[in-house]
Amino acid sequence: MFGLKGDWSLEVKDRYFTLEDYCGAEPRWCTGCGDHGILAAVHRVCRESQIAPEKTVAVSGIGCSSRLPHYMNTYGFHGLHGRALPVACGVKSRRPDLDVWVATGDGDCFSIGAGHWIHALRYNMDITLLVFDNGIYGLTKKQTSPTTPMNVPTNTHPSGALLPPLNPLTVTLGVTNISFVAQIVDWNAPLRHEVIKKAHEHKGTSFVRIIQRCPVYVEAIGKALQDEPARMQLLTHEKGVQVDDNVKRMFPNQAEHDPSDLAAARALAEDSTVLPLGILYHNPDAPRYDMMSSVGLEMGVDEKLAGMNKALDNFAI
Amino acid sequence: MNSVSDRKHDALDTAGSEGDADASVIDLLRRFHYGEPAAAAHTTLPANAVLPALLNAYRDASAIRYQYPLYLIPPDGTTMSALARPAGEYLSDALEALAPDADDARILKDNLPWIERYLRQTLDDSDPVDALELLSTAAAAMQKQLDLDAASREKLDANLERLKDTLAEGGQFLGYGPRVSLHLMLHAIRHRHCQSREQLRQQIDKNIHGLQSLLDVEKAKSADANEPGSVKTSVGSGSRHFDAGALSGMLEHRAHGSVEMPAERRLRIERALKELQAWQDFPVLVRFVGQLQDPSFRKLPELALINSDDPCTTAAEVFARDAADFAKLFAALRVAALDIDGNYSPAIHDSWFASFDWQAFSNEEMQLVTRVVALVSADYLACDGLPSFSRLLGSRLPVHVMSWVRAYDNPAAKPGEDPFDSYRFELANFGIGHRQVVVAQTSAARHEDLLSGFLCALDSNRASLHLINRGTQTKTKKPLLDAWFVASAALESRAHPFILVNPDGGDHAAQRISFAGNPQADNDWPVEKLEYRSAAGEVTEMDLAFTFADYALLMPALHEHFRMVPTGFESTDLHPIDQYLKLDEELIDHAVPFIWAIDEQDVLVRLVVSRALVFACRDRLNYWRSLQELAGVQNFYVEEAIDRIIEEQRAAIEAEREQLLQEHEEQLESVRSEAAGEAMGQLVDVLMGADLSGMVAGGSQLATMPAAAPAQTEAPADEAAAEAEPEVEEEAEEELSFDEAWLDTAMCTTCDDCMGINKMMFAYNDDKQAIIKDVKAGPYADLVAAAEICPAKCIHPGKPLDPNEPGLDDLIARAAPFN
Repeated sequence: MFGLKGDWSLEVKDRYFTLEDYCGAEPRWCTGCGDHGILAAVHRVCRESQIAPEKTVAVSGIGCSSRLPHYMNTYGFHGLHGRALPVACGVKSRRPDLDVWVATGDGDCFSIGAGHWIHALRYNMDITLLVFDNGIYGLTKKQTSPTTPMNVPTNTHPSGALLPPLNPLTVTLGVTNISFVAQIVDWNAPLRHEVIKKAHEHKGTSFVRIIQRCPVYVEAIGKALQDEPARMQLLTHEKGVQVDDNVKRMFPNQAEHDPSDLAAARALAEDSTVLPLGILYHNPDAPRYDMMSSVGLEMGVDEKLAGMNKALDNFAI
Repeated sequence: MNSVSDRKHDALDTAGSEGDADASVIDLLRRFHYGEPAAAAHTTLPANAVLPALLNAYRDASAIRYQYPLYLIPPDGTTMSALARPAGEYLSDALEALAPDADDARILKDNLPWIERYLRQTLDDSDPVDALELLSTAAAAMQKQLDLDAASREKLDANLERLKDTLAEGGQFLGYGPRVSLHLMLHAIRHRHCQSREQLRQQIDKNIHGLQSLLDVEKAKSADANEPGSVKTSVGSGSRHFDAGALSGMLEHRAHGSVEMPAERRLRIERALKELQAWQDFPVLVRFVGQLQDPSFRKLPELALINSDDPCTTAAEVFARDAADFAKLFAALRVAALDIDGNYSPAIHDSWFASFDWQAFSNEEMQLVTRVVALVSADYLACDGLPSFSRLLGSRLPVHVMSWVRAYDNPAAKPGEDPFDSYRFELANFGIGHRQVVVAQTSAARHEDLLSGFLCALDSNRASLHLINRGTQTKTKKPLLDAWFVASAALESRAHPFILVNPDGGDHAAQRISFAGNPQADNDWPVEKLEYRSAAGEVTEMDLAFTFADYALLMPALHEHFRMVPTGFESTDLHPIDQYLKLDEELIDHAVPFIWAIDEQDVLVRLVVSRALVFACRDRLNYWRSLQELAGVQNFYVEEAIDRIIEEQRAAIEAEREQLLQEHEEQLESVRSEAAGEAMGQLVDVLMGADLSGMVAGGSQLATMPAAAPAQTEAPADEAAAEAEPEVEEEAEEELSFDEAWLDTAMCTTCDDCMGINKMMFAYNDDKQAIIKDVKAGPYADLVAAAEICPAKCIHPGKPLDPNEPGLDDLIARAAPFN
């Protein structure tokens, strides 16, 4: 209308952030560790979103994964083992304007942190939850974790784990009020970037399980998958992530999957023969607890007193 | 990205109070509508900050990318290039062409909107500014604002230089202001005259040279030239080989045979030569004639300003004077051309050149004469200046009249008169009435329309009339809306519709008229969606028409024609004005028209409109429809003709169908009777004793055999096809391999493994993904080792560069799976 084109509104930001503005200390992960790629993806997504570094918070627990906040030039909280999610939820409930990333691992989240995991998913606060699942306790030098495959010898289980590994996808998809569940591998950069970007944009708890290589302790797990690309299944759909044809050619096994279909997502998660990659479930409208817990934050002292008095009037004699 | 529909407004949707109070409110509003002064006194005027609902999104123009500022493209001699483009668009297109890859010049691409905003803020309604200078200033300001680290700063500087290099010298940026149309006219004239003066000079020089040669030849034939002295000089350096005296004697003898030029021809040539030599080039391309009160208009060499109280008459005189000067030049040029070719014939040409004036100019010659533009106010044109205006339009002088028109006003109204008291004098129709004039009614907010009108006029050698609406409000100190939007609103609301009439197109209106600059030209009023939030909190949208009444709300002087409807009041008698205008006779008596508006608090309100304003709306609508018809849109005659043709076609099809059905029936009958006859015949034959047994048995044998064979042959064919396919696929895959080493950067996972092998060979790009920095920085062995260790398998070693490297066979074998 009025001769204006579709993009008539000029969004000019007065501060501009380059990639370096988000990079913190030089990462000390082992060479060949999948964590490097995930960090690079997080930096790029931050740069694309142009959210100020001082408005970004990276929260972690304990493990190789949890070194992430040190390598980001943002606010950060490197907390206790298994307690990344309660801290993140606390940050979000008090400061809903901040952009919160959570870096946790298979041990930190699925083992000691399991209790918080279930409830953080249901609370659906707006955080981006990246689980660096390498199938081992790496920082403490090779103990079996909930997701270690059975045939992998470790220091705690020299003949391999006695029980089949936990399936984090079925657990996550079984929690009420989840809003975003995705799975990727760390070594496919374009898919990794698109999924993390979409997870970051989603308003709610974005659970991304990243199958991450540990070249020092469990090289075999990563190698097995890399050698057999047919074991992975790329999920395609117009409501999912869109990737180039070059990327699609890397996955001989592809399937059409509508992310709004919860039952289909659960069936995919149950199927132990393939590893689905992409967005399994996405519900943009699930209620968020941080919207409710931040009501009244901007009230002044007088308003609060007035409100309290009004409530107490109900009980006055 | 925001759009109007993203804005949410509160509207009050609750049912009004019942009973008498209701009736009295609507009664009061209706009495105001009919013009009762007492009712006018008891109702509320609209608050000052109220805007028509569809324009509310544009209150703050600082964040809006409209077409201005413009980048004026310097003339380069070609006639087809665009003359001006929106600056932001031009810069971003230039940047895209320079750096098509998404990651190239990333920082500059992300921050180009900042530069665009800086340009828009600096160029507030001033004269055009040199583009390269302003862009440099903007770049410096941006660097200061962004305060980047050294490496990023350098990269940004380099890319800014590359961008500046794409802009040609002489380009300018032009912001929106009251003099935009003058600058664009000057720009159009510059483009048209880009090389014409140089070409004229070349033509003059060529003809001078030609004429002088003719005279030189004559001189060479004269007695002086045959003197031994001059013979010697004319031969030059070889003259010592000649006996000058003997040669001179011979020439004298031969000179008797040559023919001397006739005296009158010589006189003519000398006169023409003198005229050509006397011609002085001058830089003035255009003369603006008018009631010029603005002394701050910048002095430019191409522009001459002439003050006059009767611009039309003065402009005609000025043009006639200029044309007389050019007539002498063109006559001389024509005479020169004829004489040089020896085609001048005194019998034909003498009388012709005796009366040679501008009426005899060719089209190309007319284009060379200095342009004259009369700047006149619309009020003067419509009242005191009318006779000289009409004379000018009727003359054949190619003088251009430019006038700035107020869209809500009546140019023929005397000062102090209510604009709605009389019917509006349509200057455009007055121009069209003069038949052979180019008429362009345009909005300064649409530069392409302005420029197409100017170019049409400049190229046509006809008088032209440009009626321009600028939207600048001088009577209010702080206008609510940017002038560009007010001008756009005038176009949208049909207050100042676009029309371009070019008599060169032909005799029929359809060939002459261009109408495309009007939004939604098929409708009475343009209709847009408005999204709003009701009192209940839900977001809905409604279709709103943008009418003349909405435009009138933008003029504070016309606010007395509006009154507020109390918030929350509902009545079935209230109708939005576009629907009111379509109501039947019976309903209209009780109906009260209103428009939607939005105040400063983003609340939707309704404003009742006075009857005078409704009449004005009907008048606008009538004018709009008459223009539509001229342009062939919603043309009643055409629609009638279409209906008639459809009827005729339908009748024809019906008739054909009938006929076909009848034929079909007849054929069916004849077939039936034939078939009956045949069947009877066959039956008779059979019964008469043909051999039945042989026929039946043979038939069944034939039926069974072929079925078995195809089944057997099908199976081997399938297998063969299946074997062929995988081979073809493998071959196709094997074909892809490169001799040069390459790295698939998109797949890199930033794991540092390849850096660990050779820091000089591999490096990270801006996204922290690896590239091959220097393939010669290490042996082939390094490439192969890196390929093997890379977890994403994205390194492809190719063929080794150094054939003397030790262990090459082994390395090549190891490299094979990665190539």
